[in-house]
Amino acid sequence: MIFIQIIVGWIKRFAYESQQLFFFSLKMLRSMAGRPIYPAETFEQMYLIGVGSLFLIVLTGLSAGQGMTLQFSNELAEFGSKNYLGRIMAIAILRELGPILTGLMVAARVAAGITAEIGAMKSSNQIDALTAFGIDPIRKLAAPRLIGLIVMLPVLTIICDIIAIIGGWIIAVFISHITSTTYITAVKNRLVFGNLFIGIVKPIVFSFIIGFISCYKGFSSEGGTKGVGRATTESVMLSSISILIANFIITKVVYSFFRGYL
Amino acid sequence: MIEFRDVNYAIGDKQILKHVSFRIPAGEPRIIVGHSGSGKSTILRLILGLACPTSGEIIIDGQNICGLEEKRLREIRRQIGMVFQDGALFDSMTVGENVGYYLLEHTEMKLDEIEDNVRQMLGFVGISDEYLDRLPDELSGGMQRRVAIGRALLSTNPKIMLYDEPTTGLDPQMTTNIISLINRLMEHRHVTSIIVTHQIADAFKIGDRFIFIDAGEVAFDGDVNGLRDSKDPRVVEFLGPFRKSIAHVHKIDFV
Ligand SMILES: Nc1ncnc2c1ncn2[C@@H]1O[C@H](COP(=O)(O)OP(=O)(O)O)[C@@H](O)[C@H]1O
Ligand SMILES: [Mg+2]
Repeated sequence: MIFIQIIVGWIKRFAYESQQLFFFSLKMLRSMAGRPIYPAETFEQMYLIGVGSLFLIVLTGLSAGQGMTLQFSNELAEFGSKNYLGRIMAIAILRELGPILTGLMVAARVAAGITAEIGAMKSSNQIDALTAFGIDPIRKLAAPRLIGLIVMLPVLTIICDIIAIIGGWIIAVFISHITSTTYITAVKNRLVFGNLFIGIVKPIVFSFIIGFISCYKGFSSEGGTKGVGRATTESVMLSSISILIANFIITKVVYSFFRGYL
Repeated sequence: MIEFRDVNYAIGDKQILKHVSFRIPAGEPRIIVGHSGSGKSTILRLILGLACPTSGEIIIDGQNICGLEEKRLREIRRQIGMVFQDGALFDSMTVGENVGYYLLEHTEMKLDEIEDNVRQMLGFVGISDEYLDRLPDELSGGMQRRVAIGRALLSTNPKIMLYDEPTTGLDPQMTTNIISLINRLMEHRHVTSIIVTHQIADAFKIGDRFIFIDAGEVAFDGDVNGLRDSKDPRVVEFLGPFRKSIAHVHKIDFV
């Protein structure tokens, strides 16, 4: 009995939070359309998100690309199909690994930062102070961060893709003894519209997920420093899980509708 | 004029304000006292329209602000200067940017013109120019409070000033400083001032009209004599040993 109560409570809370998140997201979207806009804040966020995450993304891409090549090249050699390595790499990285790894890394780093910063402003009354000054805090704080994410996440993903493919090339050429031309030709073979399209749609969707969730968690945080800490953890968890779910859905949808382009 | 008419306010199941009614004529100071957690800050939030009462009316200059659309609320907020508990300075901006923030956002004023205004205002609240480019974190609590008062004043010559715990956590010297600043403002500018504090000793140095909030209810509304003579156990308990010495307390004049 108690079990059921707990589960019902869970579902209720989930439904309530989803609804709140939905309305908050609408407010964010609306605030992006109107005036005033805050170009200084927006560029600052682009810089913080983009340049701040660059090192992490390069490192992630490099190690993912190299690791994959090492694993696959041995396996493919057994079937005498090492020539296909580049194709597998291109598909795996463009469609899945690049977007997912970048999304998760940025979710961990940026979502935590956004929620903590906005949460701290909330708990020290700075958000109320903005409102009292006749300023829409969502427009001032949330919109620049969302725009920063929408612009920078695809860029970071492309960088991650490129670095991963280069990382694969290094292993392919120097360790697995595949000629450079073979690898590059195979990669090029899979740089088709469909793959590139998925590879760019995913980070755009992920940027909305991270932006909505992290800002919402910051604005709705309560209970002082402890509450901000909790909100930050929840923000990273929730955006990571949502990214994984969205990733699966996008892949599935694209597979059903755009098969011919892949 | 600010008037509360039977205002109730709840968050979830929690009743925070119960049947709160009072009236503050224009240009008069009012001190809201009460224990921590009794609902004082909530009253200020409601006046600013940061939250909406569950029922009742809040009348500011003849207009019920409950349920007004955001645009109208913004116009009303322009007449109100708010000094938040602990200052609530924007911690990513310098002292100068904080104080000049309203002018920067809402007017076409040139930067050096704004800076002149900011310097003048900092002088008025007693902060020297050298702090202009410092971050709020580098200032003491008392100085942050002064900057916050300056920031509130440099909005649009507010007709109403709200102070939330302006002296809490400050040493006696700073407390005296802040109180004399508040008193100076009231005498010079004739703004309607509401000062919230749970520190009864400080309350008597600011004014002599009190509203005592206890557990979300107005337990007393009147002047200093009424407060002293009140037999209400909640008032007696709140004043404690201070009750006897009330007659001897004098307002701190501005220095
Ligand atoms: N967001 C909130 N959620 C739940 N309870 C709250 C919230 N904000 C304030 N309260 C409660 O409302 C009561 C009054 O708070 P407040 O107005 O800040 O008191 P005061 O300023 O007199 O110390 C307190 O009991 C506080 O716990
Ligand atoms: Mg308070």
